[in-house]
Amino acid sequence: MAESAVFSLEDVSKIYKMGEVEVKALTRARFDIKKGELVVVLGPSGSGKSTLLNVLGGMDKATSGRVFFNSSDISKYNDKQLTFFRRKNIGFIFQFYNLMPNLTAKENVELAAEISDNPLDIEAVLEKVGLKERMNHFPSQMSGGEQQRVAIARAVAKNPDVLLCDEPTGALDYTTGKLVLGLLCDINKETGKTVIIITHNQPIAEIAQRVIKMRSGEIVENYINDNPADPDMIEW
Amino acid sequence: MKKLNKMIIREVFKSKGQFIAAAAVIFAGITMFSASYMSYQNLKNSVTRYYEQYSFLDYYAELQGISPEGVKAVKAFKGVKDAIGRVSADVGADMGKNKRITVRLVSLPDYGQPAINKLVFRSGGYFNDTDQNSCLVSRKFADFYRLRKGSKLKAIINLKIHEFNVDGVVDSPEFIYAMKSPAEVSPSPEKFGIVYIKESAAKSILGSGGMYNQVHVIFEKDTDKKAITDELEDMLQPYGYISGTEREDQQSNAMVDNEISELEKMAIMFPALFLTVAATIIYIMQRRIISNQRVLIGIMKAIGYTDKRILWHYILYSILIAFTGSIPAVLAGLLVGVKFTGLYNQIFSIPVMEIKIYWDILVIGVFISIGFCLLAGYNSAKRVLSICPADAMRSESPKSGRRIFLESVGFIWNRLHFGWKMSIRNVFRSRTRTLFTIVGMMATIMFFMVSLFFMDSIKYILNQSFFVFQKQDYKVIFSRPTPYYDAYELKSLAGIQRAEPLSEIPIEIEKDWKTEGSLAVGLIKENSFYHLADDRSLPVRVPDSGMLMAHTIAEKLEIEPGDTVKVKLYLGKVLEKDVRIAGIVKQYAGFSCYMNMKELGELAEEGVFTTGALISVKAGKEEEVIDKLYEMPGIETVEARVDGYYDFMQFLDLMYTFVGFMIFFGTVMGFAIVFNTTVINIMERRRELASLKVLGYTGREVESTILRENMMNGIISLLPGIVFGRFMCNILAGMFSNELFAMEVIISTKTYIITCSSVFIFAILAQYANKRNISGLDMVEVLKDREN
Repeated sequence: MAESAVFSLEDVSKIYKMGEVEVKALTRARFDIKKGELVVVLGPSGSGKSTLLNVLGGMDKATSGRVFFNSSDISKYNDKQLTFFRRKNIGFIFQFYNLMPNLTAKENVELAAEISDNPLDIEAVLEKVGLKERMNHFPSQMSGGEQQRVAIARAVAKNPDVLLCDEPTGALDYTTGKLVLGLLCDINKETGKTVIIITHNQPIAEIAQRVIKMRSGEIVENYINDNPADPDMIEW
Repeated sequence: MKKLNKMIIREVFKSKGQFIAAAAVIFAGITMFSASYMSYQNLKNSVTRYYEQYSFLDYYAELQGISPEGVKAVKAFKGVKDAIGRVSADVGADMGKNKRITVRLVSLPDYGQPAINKLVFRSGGYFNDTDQNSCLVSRKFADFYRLRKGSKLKAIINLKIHEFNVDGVVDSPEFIYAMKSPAEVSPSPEKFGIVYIKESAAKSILGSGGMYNQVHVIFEKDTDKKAITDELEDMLQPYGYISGTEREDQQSNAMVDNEISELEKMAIMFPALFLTVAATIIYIMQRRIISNQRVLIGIMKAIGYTDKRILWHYILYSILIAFTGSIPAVLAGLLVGVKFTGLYNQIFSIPVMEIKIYWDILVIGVFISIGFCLLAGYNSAKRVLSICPADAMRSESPKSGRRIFLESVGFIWNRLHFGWKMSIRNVFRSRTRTLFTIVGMMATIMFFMVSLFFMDSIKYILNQSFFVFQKQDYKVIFSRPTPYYDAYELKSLAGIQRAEPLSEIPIEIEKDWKTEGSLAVGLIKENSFYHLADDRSLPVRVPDSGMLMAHTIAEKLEIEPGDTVKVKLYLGKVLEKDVRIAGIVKQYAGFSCYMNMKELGELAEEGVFTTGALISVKAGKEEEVIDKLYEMPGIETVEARVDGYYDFMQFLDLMYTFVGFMIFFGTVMGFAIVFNTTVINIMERRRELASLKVLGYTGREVESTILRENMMNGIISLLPGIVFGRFMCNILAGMFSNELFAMEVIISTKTYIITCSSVFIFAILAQYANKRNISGLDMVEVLKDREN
């Protein structure tokens, strides 16, 4: 395990049992992610990338293998420990935003900040994502891009070490999608947080410092991109 | 405020219809609880206080004669705190306007209140020292006949009219319920009153020769009353001991006790029913809210909220329902409780009636509702714990779409309209949803049935007792037992169509240490006025020998036809005889036992005698006949059958008020249940319904899909609802049968119709209330959302 690794996976497998059928969602995954890296996990649908994200984020447990987070083996954690692991270390960003429909933008962010020991200034975070003016709107009053920016603000406000983004541009149009990617890159650069983006969209891999390619539950490629592109420059 | 709490409050406002509906059921249950429990407490405490402050008797004995010295000996008896002797006799009273009734003359010390059964003065004062004919009258009786200080009262004693002067109107702990005998159906101030006269006057007028015929006793506190009573009764034997009655069995007190315990049952049973239903609704509602919010739960978990915190979030919703329903409920309960207590006091006339607010009951009310809601909330919300965040974020796989049974019946299935096919499939496939909806509808049916059954049952009992079982127009009561042919002589009066003799003797039936007071009624064999019937409503004739017993007494004492029981007859003296039970007759009110008059006369060692007659009168001749009857010597009173019916009706006021509340709350609940299930059904199926709209269905067509399903659920719920309703009616009938009447489960066709239609009416109303939710579905928005 590399010393500066924030995540280190050792032969991690995840098998789902669906009735009598066993589905191997993840097979012997083995890689390290360094602190402060911007990682893109790339793969077609069904390749196991969401499973990988769930295992990394402590939302699901691996069937076998070990997952180290900052040298702690989180695969041994019980549900309660996993909850506190998520609370302290992980910020999630989902494809469908998943904001609380009953709370305003600001309140959605506060919802996460409230349980953090070391939250960031909420208004500053909202300003950073360009929503200071709209922070008192409800999700239903916002566009998809705005909702996703609220989701990013919510993930960042807890001040976690890692941002896990599951198809963050999947539900957005081209321009808004690029805006969101730009925001994630900025956060990575400015705060040094590790950002892990999961996507099926090949060109997005160009912005990453590390690319992990998956197919049928296996890691088929894991390489360093020495010249990450600016999100503005990529096309899909 | 914490954001999760804010979310809850917004959730409440968003689903305010559902929230209010659930809170309304809690409101109904807790209002009933606090109102009836408060009346119960008030009544119980007031009665206890009344008895204490006015020295209500612990025991009294009927004797043939005891001298003042004898009473002194009783007073000196170990364990006896105080004792008084008194003279008491039932006599006729002429109330004017063709009215002759029975009054009970009771002697009191010439000067100063008695030591036991003290009086409460409502108006006027104690006896006039200088007037031997001074009297005091019981309040309800006085109210009915407008008697007050200065009024005159004509009593017929030993065939002579004796005029008393009223000096005061009083209440007594001894006669909270003033009834002539246990065989009466209900107290009636029109037919019976208490008249207190001076002891010296009583002794001379009633010719008791300076003796008392009753002794009343109060025991020392903390003594073995049973043991003292036994010893005391032995000691009283030389005074011609007839019977002894302990406080528990004293007629008025037994009725009051019975009423209070019934109120306690009502105060617990009905609210418990409401709250159980409320808890069920909350459970169902919450369960469905949680499964609809799977994704939100997943996000909360992903953000790092603990299971406990999320669980609490959902339980809090239930607790909010409890508070919203129960806080206004305890306040409403206060108002209704005051009304109930007031109604009770109209019946009881307790002078020290205290309408007190029992804060502890109100707090208990709130806690009970929280308890029920917590139970429902926790049980439904604990599912949160098993939700794995990663799974929650994944959309649920579509439900399996198998064919339903009906589809194999091509003959029917192929003829169904597509809309019906869809609705039928939905009902049978979404079994949990269907089951919950049906459970809710069943509860509605049950409540309506239970409320309306009271009305049906009472109407039936009264009809049976006063119109089917009895056919005479009047019952004539003689001042003293007379030869039986006197009754037949009444027939010679112009206007009387038919007259039949009747003899009545108070009795006590004993079997295996259990005793029950009743009235033995002697009838002629060919009696045409009393239509006795068995439990299958088949007529039963008066047997040549043996006794026909009211089914309630037979059940209580576990007596079967053919058994021989011990019967004590009270006819001035006490006789103990063995009597064979010839049969059991159904009696709904006023439980009596029937015999051949000849045999009853022999049993009483008196020969054939009558205490009265049953008569029928030609239409239009009633007043004339009554006039003439009162001119005849030896007639104490003439009672109209229909009067008894109206007396009973008055007595039922309280029950009607209660049933009124039940129906009101039942309606609230019924609507709440159906409304809630409809809202949830719509919310759960927003995507499905929006898809229909996308396909080109009109708002109306989509609405009718829901309505069809609700109607089908309604139809399915009818049978189990009725069975469940009847089951509850049986339980309640058993609980509410008392000393006065036997409740029977009678449910009229009208009740069935109202009950069953209520479900459909509620379904239509709920649909209407939800119209906006269906027609306002924004197809694009709904289909865009992944879930929620």
